[in-house]
Amino acid sequence: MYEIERRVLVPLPLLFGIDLSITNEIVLLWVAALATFLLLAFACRRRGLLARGPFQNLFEALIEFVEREVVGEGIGKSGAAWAPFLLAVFFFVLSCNLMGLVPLPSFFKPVTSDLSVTAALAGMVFILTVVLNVWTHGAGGFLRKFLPAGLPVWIGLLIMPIEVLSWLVRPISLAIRLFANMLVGHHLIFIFIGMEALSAWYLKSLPYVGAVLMSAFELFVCFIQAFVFVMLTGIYIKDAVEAH
Amino acid sequence: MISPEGLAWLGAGLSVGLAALGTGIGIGLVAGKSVEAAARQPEAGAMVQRLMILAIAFIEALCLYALLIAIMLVGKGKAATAEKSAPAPPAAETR
Repeated sequence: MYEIERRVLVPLPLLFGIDLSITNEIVLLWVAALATFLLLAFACRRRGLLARGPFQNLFEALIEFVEREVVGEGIGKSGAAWAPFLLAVFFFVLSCNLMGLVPLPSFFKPVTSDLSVTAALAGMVFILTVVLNVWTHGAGGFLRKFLPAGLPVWIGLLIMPIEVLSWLVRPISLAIRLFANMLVGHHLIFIFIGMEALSAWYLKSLPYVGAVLMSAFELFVCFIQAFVFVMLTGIYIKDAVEAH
Repeated sequence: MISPEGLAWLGAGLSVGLAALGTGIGIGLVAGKSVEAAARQPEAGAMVQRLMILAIAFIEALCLYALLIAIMLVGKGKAATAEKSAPAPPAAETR
């Protein structure tokens, strides 16, 4: 399964030991980034009070949903400046996730089903939260966050590694949640189609029904996982920016 | 006695099965309580739905960690069986 889905299209030489050849995943990443930019630029073209046409209506519905749930409730007033960033992340992760629903498995796969992609996204969020913390509270204040207040010093020193570890688990869990959801969903469709070869002649069409239902569920999971990623990013940003 | 691949498959099945046990109970509790809260106070329905989706994503991630370990185990098991059937290279001498 794994060998089918990653195909090297343009082999490039090694650069300091990193293989820079262009695989189908990289092309899909570019397509997802281009789709995010072009679709949003196209949907936000006409200014006016009412949305014109179904296409702009769809995008305004999505944007309003993300703004209301993530920015309005998650971050609050001080987070209104973060709305464009969160919207960009949401639409990028959404289009990366939706790449896997095109039924041509030799080229299309959900781009976020590769741990490198989700680790890069989660690393970006992690660096963002660290920089915001240091910028708001200073380096000392940032370290003081891990010591719960009002405890004797030696208990605090015992608890501090646990707090640091639970802080470090946040981006790791962001990456693994998105990666495992997308990988498992995509592979389950393959498993359903593989069951067709093992079934008796009178049951041959049932696995395809299962694959179609699994694809419908996978569409739902794509939206939910993108939304959860952006909501957690918003919560981490709010956690970093709020002043006690 | 039992091949490494067999043991790896056994471990993979046990890991996901046991993890899904706790996940099922956790998500069932969260969903039940949130439906109850929404039925009690329908004006808070949107907020309850948002919190429910967030909580379900957290709990489901724990089951997916176990699934990840299961997939890794199966890969290692297949590699271990292939290595066992092939003649092993001579071990390096320690000085």
